[in-house]
Amino acid sequence: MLLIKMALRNLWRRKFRTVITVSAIGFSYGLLIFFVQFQTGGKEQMANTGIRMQAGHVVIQATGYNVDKELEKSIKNPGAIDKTIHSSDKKAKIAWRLFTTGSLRSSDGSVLLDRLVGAQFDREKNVSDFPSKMQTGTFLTGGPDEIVIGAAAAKLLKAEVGSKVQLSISDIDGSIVRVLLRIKGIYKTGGASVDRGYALMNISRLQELLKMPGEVSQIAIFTDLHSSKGLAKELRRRLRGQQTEVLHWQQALPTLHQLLLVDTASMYIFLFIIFFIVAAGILNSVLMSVLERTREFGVLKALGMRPGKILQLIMSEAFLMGLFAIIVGLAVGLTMSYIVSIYGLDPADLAGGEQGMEAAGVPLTEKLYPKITAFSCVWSSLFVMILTLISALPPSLRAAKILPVKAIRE
Amino acid sequence: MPNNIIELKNVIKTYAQGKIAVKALRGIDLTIEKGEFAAICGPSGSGKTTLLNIIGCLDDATEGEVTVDGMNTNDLSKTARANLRLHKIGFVFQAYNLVPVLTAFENVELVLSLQGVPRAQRVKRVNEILAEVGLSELSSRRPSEMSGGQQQRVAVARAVVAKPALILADEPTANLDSVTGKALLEMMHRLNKEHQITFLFSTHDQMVMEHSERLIHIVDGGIAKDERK
Repeated sequence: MLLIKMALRNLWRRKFRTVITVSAIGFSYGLLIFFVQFQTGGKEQMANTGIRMQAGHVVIQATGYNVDKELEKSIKNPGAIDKTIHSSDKKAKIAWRLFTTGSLRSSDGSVLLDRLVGAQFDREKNVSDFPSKMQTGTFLTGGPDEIVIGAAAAKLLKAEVGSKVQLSISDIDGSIVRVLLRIKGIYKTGGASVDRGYALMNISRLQELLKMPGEVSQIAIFTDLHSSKGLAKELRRRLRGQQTEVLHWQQALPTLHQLLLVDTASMYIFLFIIFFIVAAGILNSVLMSVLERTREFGVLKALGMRPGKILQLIMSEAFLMGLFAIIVGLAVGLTMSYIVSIYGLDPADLAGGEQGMEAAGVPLTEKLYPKITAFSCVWSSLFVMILTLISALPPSLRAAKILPVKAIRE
Repeated sequence: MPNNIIELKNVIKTYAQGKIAVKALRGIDLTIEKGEFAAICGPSGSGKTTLLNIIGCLDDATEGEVTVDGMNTNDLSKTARANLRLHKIGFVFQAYNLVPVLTAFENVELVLSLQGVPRAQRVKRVNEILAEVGLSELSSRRPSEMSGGQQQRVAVARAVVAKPALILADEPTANLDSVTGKALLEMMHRLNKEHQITFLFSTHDQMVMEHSERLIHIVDGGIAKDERK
């Protein structure tokens, strides 16, 4: 108890240095907490947007489709697979999709479609972001001649809701099929490629046009980010031998996954810088304190204080300094995270323009919010404390090894 | 039970100054009995403090045998020496050397705390000893709030509180005026008689020499004269 009292008073004895050190470490640590929570939240939002617009948490496709997107590589029995999915996860939402490419032409222009999606209008509206991004008109309602296109495509076609456009695609035999469709709605996601090169129409009509009745390119499953890996593993086991491949979203959207990994790596670099500041701050403060108090340690040793107790005294000072810094850091970081979690940060503002950002084909148009978790606070606090104690160890050992006869002479 | 608290046999201490070996102590033979109030005196650089440091297990003898309260300190590990200092030896330094962040009470309590004495006993003994040195009123003051004489009395109380067998005092009056120094010496003499604690001073202060019952004169690292009053 006397040791803790001494440690506290020793910190207070050099108030200015203690306050500067604790503030520097605390504010750096606060920034770190905010950055980690904001990045975690942003990454989850990006992953979820990518999953909702371009895949699912888990997708099932014909074997080889992920590498070579040929129409022939399709699932012939989606209904049976639906049953298998539901028996593995009753709460999972499912959507069938049929993908192809093509072009749209109006009397005033044309546009190439990188991805024409045949979608189940009733299921898609529960899982996809497109229905909520409609700028004008409505999402698909099941009509045979409906098509939904992006705002950029509509501009190129000089078309609006209700306009007729001609769709040209190649069917499974390679024959060109041309059909007139009516624009049901125009969406705007903010992502340039999605708003120009994507279009959605009803799956049954597309199956008919492609001469692929009942066939789908992809069965997209929506569950949640954290349990999706387990579901993918389970389905892989259950669908073995059925000419299908079960992909987790990280495999289905490799570019997005890579981007998020790079993002994580940048976070680690930031972490390293912060932890370097913490280590240098503590080392400097404790070393200065030890050098200034050499004589005092000599006296304590002369009185019979063992080296272990001296070590304990200085480590207690470092522990208390680390603890105060963590309290300051948590207060700063959580306040920042809380404020941003209320108002959000607009990616357009972060990009410095009015246009939204697009990352790995995923439009980032919604505000980004930090994800405040107890875990992120606990692990980072523990890490800061461990780093504090490690940084304080060399000067503490130095003090513990002081020879009293030499120290008292100083 | 040995009656001698300190026994030195042919103690030699050599320091290396660059490539030159300097002999600070040249074969000291000395015996101090329990309860003595003795002083090692001599001019600066004669080896007084070196001798006190070796007796107090703060420094090693280069040669010779040092026995404190029956224990040969040459054979002791660092931990055992720390234990010996903690339980058997009290120190009073010229510059008081109190812990600046602790109050007078806590400075005195520190030794008992290191010994693992329970809190209730510590409080009782610290209060008793502070009363003996006349500092009960100042027990909550920090060293910076006390005069030099008051600080040195706290240092004496700290040295005495655990009732050690031996107190080593290195120039205890050097930083005090004559009135304060005299009062301190009288107080230490009283504690010596009341608690039967051996006091050994290192000094060149005439007043300390006058109060001491035995004077061991050191010149150039050797005992020149050993006189009992």
